[in-house]
Amino acid sequence: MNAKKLLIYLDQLEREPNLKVNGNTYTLEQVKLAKKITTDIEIELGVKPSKPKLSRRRAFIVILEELYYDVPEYPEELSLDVINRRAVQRFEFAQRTLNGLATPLEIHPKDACWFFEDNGSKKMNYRRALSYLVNFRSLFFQIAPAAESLKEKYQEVLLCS
Amino acid sequence: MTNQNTIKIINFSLSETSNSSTAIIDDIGNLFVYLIHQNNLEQAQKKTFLKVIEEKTLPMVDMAKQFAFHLINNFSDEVVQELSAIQTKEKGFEIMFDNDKLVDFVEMEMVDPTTTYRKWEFGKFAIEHFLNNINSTELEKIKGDNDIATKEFVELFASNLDTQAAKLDDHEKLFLIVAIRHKLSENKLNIATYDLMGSSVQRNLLGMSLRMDILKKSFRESFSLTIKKQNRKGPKR
Repeated sequence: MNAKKLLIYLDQLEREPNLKVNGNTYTLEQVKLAKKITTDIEIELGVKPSKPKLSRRRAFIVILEELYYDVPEYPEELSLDVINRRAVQRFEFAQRTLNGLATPLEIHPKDACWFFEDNGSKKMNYRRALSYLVNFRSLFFQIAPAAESLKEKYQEVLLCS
Repeated sequence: MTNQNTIKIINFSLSETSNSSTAIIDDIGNLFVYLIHQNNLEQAQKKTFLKVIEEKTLPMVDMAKQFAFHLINNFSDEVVQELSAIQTKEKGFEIMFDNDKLVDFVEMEMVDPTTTYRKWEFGKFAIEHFLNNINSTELEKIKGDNDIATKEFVELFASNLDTQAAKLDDHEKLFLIVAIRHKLSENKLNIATYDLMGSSVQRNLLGMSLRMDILKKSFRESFSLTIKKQNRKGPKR
């Protein structure tokens, strides 16, 4: 593509006045709006669409929530292998062994307040994991009710932290 | 990030380098760089990339490491606490990769933000890092006087890129054009532009590193050619 043509795309990026940053803060809304604009332009620039990047632990939470948001317990025989396979199809993260990880319940408990009752630091870690997913649920979830149910779970964890 | 929707900008001052970096922080930086780019590489390239990160100083890799140090310096107390609780007795990068808790931590606290809400900051940092290494007094002096003059200057600069001896990819041209725009706008382009740069640099980290000399040369030559052509037109009215 000649540079003149590229300039047209760059002009499109600069067209939205709400995306200027003044001062030392910006907002999630600005980030999301920018993402919308750049995604369209990347397609026009011929960038191949790719799976969203997401840390493995968060990817597992998304998959677990999407599969089981509407049942009270995980199936007993559920293994992380299954979750891993699905997560790999959906998200981009570095492949590695599952040795260090525990069970689905430890990654994404059904009742987090109870599960992490005696482990403050794990609860905080979990809360941060959810916070990010809730903020960017439109990027990572394909099943809307699962995204909503995760949001509710996040609010519960906030109340008990 | 708090649960509020406002995010504080990180102060990425370029002069503040990693004097205080310890071996472990250095390893975390390496891990960050690997994780941010690895999915763009073939399986066989990944091993090479690991070695390159650890053993060589490559411009974009170095830039991304500096970015990682800034992230670490701006961790919230809660995150600092968590990092200090992770056992990192083993030294060495390859061994660290087996430390699942640490990989998890770097993915969640550093890579995730850099692929979403701090991606534009990553892009902006990459541009500033690049400009900082151009070392040109002419570049330092230049200012975007007004919109029309700036627009003309950028258009000239862009078309000069097309006539460079070295063929540049689209993403490379975009990077160089954004760099000159960034300079002329006094570092005030919008989030979308920097975000696009962030994606592009993450995708092309190794390639841009290896072609850095070409990129710098193309930038310098297009820039001085633009200045020359403008001077030929006579003084601005």
